[in-house]
Amino acid sequence: MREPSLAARQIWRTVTIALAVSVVLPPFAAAQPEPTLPELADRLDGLVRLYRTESIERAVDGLAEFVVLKRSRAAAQRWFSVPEHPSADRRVQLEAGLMLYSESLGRIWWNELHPYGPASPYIPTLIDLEERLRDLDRDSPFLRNWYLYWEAFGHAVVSRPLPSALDFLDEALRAFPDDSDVLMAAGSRFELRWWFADENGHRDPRPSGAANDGLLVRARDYLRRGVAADPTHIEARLRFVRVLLELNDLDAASQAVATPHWSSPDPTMAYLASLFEGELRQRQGNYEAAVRSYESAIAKSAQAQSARVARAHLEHAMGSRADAAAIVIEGVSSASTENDPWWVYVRGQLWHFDGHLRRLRLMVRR
Amino acid sequence: MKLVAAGALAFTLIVAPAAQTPRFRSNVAVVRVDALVTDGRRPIGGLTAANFELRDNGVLQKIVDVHFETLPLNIFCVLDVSASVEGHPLLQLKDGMSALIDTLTGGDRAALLTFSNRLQLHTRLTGDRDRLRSAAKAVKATGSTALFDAIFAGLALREADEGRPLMLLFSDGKDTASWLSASKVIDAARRTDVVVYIVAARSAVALQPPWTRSLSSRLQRPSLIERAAEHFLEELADATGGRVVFTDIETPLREIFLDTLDEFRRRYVISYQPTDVAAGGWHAIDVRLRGRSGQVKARRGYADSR
Repeated sequence: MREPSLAARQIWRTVTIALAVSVVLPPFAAAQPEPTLPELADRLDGLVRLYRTESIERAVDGLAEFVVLKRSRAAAQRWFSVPEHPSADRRVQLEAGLMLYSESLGRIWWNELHPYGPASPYIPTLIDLEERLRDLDRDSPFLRNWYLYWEAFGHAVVSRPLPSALDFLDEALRAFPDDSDVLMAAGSRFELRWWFADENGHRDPRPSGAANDGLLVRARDYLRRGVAADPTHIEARLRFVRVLLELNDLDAASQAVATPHWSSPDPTMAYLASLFEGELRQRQGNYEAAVRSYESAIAKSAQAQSARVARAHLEHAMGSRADAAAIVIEGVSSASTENDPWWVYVRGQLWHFDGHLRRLRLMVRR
Repeated sequence: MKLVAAGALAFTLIVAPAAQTPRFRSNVAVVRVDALVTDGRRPIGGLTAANFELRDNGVLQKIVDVHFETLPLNIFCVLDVSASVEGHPLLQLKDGMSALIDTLTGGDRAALLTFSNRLQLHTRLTGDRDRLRSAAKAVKATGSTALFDAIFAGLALREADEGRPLMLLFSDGKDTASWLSASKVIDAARRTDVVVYIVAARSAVALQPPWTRSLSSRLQRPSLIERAAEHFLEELADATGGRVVFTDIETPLREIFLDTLDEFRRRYVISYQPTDVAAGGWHAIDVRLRGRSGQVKARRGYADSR
């Protein structure tokens, strides 16, 4: 006889478990007294303390069991209101609670193909916690970092956008209107959405005044404000220039690179600055300057391919086929696994995710 | 006429420096046009120069040579190995490559370039089948999709020799990581004589149950070919005189690859020396049949890059 398929076995297993649970569990469950609201609130308090002081993994697992309980949200709201903690500790406890909910929901969103169902029990309390913390101190360093962390997470799951209820960008901009990191994150969001937009399938720069460039215009405006807030912020400036190139505004891009701040000791940022400047010079018809910029990028990253592709394309367009072939061969013959800064750049704020998470954990874990 | 010379000069159109004349003279350059002639879907064989009419920028040209199934092939296999190809599709891809390698004959050569976000040239053009087989076996799937960059790299690898350049491109998704834009790649394709055949698989990745997929592939944007991506692939094939074959990920690639190669072998290579046309710039080419019915598919023109 043929072995049943994996899917058939999965279905059979699920049906068997469901039957067993429906037969065995009800009398057993009926025998258990239902936890009271204060007991549930204590349970959540314990999970948050576990997250703060011991095991993040165990706290996340425990929360998964907690959030599916009928009165978990009510219990969480009771827990918010427990007045016995000194105020400073209470705030850290609430911050840790927000982190626990954020990490738990984030893991589901990250791992599941269709996260809406499994993630939904976490959403109301996460929103409640953010609001409660905002009421306590709307421009606290913790909230600033959390907004940036949550935005970076949103960029990681851009193909499965978070529901609008979990969009805190407007809150971040209201609380930190002149913060260059927050403004850059906002600009980066719209740049990223443009990158993945269906109408941008060809990745060509927009012709002047083209329709459907609203995402790019919003990106440009936030990034312009980010650069104005901190002219030395190299990533904000890089993204500003890149968006201007996408909008075909070469004059504005030229102005934005004509500053001593268009350089960075960070090799990733320095590589991208040279790459973008090469593109700018090429589109301005200054091929010698473009070659210099691409060469400068190549010198900064031995394994990066984007600058080599750009340089080879320039040679090819100018009719130097042999040179183009040589550059391509040099660039694609290695089996390196090193990341090209360009590939990371196009994922928006994702590259900051780990840093934000680390900082937030440090703030709440004692 | 020696075809080696024709191949070396084709589309580079090398002429004596400081030439004063704005028009091509005889004996300065040979242009080679790869053309598929079909009656419906079936390739037509047995045609000679007398059966073709070729115009360069509207000017009727004298055809000096027509070759059919005689010239060796230079096949640039440019294969998408992004995360969405992981599993069964990758096995299909390797099987297709293996079948293709088995059919190489005589002076045929192949190169293998794979791409995810990173491009990797596993082997340059070679007739060494063992080397090609071991290169194809070693391929792994991971990462996002730098489709445009990979196509450009494949075009740039074209070597100036007598072999007929074919790019066999396989992809199951839209671009997510390239530096170059689609227009730049189309322009580059127009500047070469590489014929691009594309096997575009519509991935069912979004429909697969999660437990059959790895974590890395779950993180990828579902790689369904969207309208813009399809349009780009059709534009690319059209610009180079090639063709797009849309398939689903379950269809064995072996048969598609072999059919594609078979069709490519049964194309004509038409050579002519441009006469009475202005040198430089874009030259539109129009190839038609004379005295019989059928469809001709060839590149739309070439760039004289002097």
